[in-house]
Amino acid sequence: MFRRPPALAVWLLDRLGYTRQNAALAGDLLEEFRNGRSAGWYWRQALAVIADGFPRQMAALAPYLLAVTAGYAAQLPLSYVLWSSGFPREVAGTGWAKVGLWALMQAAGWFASAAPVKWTLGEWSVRLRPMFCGVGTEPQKRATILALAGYDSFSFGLWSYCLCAVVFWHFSQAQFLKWESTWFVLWVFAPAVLPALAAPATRSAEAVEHREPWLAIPQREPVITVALPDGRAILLGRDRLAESIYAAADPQLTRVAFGGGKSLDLLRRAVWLGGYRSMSHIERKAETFTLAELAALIDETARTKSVIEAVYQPKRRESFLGRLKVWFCGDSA
Amino acid sequence: MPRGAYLGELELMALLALIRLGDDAYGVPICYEIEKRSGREAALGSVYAALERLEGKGLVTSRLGESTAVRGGRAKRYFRITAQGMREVRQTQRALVNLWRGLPELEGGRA
Repeated sequence: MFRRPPALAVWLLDRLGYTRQNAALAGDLLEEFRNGRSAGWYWRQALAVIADGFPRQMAALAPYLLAVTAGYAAQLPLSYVLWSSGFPREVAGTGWAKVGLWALMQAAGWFASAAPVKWTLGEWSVRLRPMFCGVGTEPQKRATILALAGYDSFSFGLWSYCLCAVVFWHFSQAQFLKWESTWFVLWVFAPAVLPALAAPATRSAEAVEHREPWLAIPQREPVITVALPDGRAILLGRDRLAESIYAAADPQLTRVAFGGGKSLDLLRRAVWLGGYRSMSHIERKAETFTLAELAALIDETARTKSVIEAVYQPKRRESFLGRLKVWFCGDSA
Repeated sequence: MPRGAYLGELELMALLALIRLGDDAYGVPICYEIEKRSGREAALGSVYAALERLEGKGLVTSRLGESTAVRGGRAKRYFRITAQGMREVRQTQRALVNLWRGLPELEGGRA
């Protein structure tokens, strides 16, 4: 029914398009695209949003990056002293015993990171970056999250050193520095900087529908509004569907609905699909369908085995090239 | 707005577009208005960035509007110029007119 913009551009925009009004901006871009702009236009706009937002996001994240870097830097001398004194010693044991010990220490490490968050913020979580991004301008909570981020980074560095020393091996000074810097880059700094690794700040309704379809189920029976050529608008629901169409006494509507041997059941399914798509969003504001759009909706419904398939997996049988096209150019689904 | 802070070109254009559009101003019409009046393409992202800066300065307020299926369920964000924003536009206009005045190079197409 609606054209879909390039999926890759949408994904990048969701992850890297940092503006606070991201959802509104993404909606504006989609609206323009569906009003006839090209896939190239969508790509240019999405890249411009990303290029504009990245430096600002880095500036906004600077206190968080400073906190995790300071926390990690603070554990470095302590780990070095431990390494110099050969502590802790490698535990002797079989491979499986070491795997068990490694798992136990990982769990203990997670608890050591998550427990302070639970005690201070009331949440069992170590995902402090999204918390920092979503905290707004509350200075006290902001300071608490920054302190927790510093502590988390500190404990992660120290724990990682201890884990390796106890379970795996003792390493040389060069190896010590190499591992410390690798952990910092891969597990502390990169997850803090690369937003693609973190969940987007706002999830689009489309994403919600795909990942958690039960949340998108309409709370009432889907209906659609159809604009007739003479200016009237009629409401079509699955109950009394045929009655509503004949009461409208519009030959074009009758042709669209029942012409070519279309069944009432097909029409009912089309109404459900169109109504679902219009109503399953945040404010459930229904769209008005023109007769041409209604005809397209019926055709689309006729091509799918079930409405559920049309709603949730409209592209299941797409070829590889078809998928590539959707990623880069979008489609007219 | 702090004393000594100037409006950027796009910020001024966005404010003028908001005055023209009134209550129905959201990203798409603002962009159209700027493009129509200036003859230059305006990227939605840049316009939003300018509006966000203006909101931070207290020259613009915003509210969330309706979401529709054609927008993928995303709400529109309507912008409106504040009284402070109007004062700032007038002040910028006066400053620009004063700067313009008495420049023979810019009068009557002489270069």
